[in-house]
Amino acid sequence: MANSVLSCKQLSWHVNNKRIVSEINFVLNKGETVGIVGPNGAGKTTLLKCLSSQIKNIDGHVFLHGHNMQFMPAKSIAKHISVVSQQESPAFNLTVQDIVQMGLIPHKGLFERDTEHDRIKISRALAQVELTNKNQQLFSTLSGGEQQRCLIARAIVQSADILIMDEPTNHLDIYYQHQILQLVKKLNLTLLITIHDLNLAAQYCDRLLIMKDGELLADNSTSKVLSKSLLKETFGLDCHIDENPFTNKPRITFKGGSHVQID
Amino acid sequence: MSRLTNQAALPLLLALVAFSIISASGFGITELDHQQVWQCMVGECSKSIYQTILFEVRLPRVLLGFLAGFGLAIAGVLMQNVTRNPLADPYLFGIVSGAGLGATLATLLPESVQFISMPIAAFIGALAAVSLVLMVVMNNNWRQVSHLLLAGVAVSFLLSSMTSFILYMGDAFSANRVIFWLMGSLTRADDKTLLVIAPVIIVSLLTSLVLARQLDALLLSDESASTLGVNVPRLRVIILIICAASTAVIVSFCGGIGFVGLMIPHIARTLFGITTARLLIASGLLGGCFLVWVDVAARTILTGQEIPIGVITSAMGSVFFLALMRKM
Repeated sequence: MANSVLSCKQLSWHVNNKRIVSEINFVLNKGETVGIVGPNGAGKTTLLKCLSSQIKNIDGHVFLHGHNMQFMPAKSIAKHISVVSQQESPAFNLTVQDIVQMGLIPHKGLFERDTEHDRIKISRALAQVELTNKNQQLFSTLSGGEQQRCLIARAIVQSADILIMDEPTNHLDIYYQHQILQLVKKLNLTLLITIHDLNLAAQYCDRLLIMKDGELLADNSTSKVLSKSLLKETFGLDCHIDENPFTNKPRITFKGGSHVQID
Repeated sequence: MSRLTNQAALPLLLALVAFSIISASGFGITELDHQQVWQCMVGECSKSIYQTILFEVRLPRVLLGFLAGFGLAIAGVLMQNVTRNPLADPYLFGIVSGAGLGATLATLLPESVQFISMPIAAFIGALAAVSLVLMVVMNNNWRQVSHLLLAGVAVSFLLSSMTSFILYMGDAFSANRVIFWLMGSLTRADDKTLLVIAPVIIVSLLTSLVLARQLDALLLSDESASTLGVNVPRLRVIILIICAASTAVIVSFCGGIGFVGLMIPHIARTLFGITTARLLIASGLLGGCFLVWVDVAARTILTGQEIPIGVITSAMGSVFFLALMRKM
């Protein structure tokens, strides 16, 4: 497991005696892009929170670069894992620059000030996500795609080697969905992403985990996971799988229609 | 409104502070005017009595006003940032009610010890109020900011009702004194008061500045802060203790001066930016100047009579609060 950067062993989490995530085992290898797919309420976001130490009272173990994460200080974890969540709505009018600057926090001691190197790092990150000319704009006035790019710039400044993203393409139009995923792929990080759109998952992920009812149903290469039977078991829908003519990756078309029941 | 840059903001604020302190020292019932104040400050006092009035009466009072305003404003910044609620104010945590109860209980002690026992009892009451709020929310979803604020309001009502009961049952003279004290006043100003308040405010400011980066992380969300390596619950407890200590020490000497912690951070945020370090310094300096001038107004609006300072700040603050709520 020399390549393993993040792994979990028998990871479970329950709230009010209800298991939200149940006995998950998997390994995230260096440089991989791994997608987590599954229906709503499958426990995808909770799993990400357990893996990024946002949820601490877990059963089982999470290992970051071979170290048990439960015994690691929050700051050390933040040096290795950055998180871009679905949507942020700051209470005050923070600018893009304010937010990107927050990426420095795990690397700064209590008495350390920003250096010229930090300022260069921030402006490079802003350039990478093409927000240089919007650095003084209020975060709340940015479009959904720009907000995601701003948070990605913060993750770049954070300089972690693992980037965890929770449904980064939600609420974005098709252009921005591809833009965001292409952008993070270019960063050469290890990526763990929850994603609803299976075609996007097929196009950008090397490996997929399928979750349902808090359990891991499958963990395999994208082409193996995206099978008719597994998708039927996961989503309860029939589908047709062929090849995307542009990418040669699997393309999934769900049947939907009249047999979809309204509970 | 565009925000001022660092280079422009600090000299401007420091100039305002210097102007406010020197100028406010020129207001009073004796004939010591602004020109004579300036002469005394540069060591050329025309009469020795002027020196006594300036350095033993007026300047301590102006400085106490400045320190109280500074402390209340930074406590406001901290409360608003830590709860991510622009309407948060140290007074919402029951600090004044706690101090009021402490002061009221002190009136039950022999009169000879009341001068010293009242501020001490107020201080203990204020800390007890915050401890009670923290105890209520500690085991119960304490990450939720709304719980924290609601617990503060409930504790505030509880302690106020106890105060009212004691005042109702007690003698009228003591009740009047407590009520006047609760309205806020800088009449206790002297060297000793400054020597107690100044270190608390300075330590609060320095500790908050050291934690400023972590406080910035909280501005987005608790989750976001924790992924940036911030221990959110621990940070929140530290900040609440700082707020409690600085507000309690101010309240115990100056009584209830409401809404400074609510208004000033808002104005400073618009003018100087949002990140914690800038906001702390700007709000502190602005809050200090604000209270210095409110005290001047309190002393000069009615001839021969002083209006309690808390009456003015509460009147201004409540209008500000309503305007803010309308805008939200």
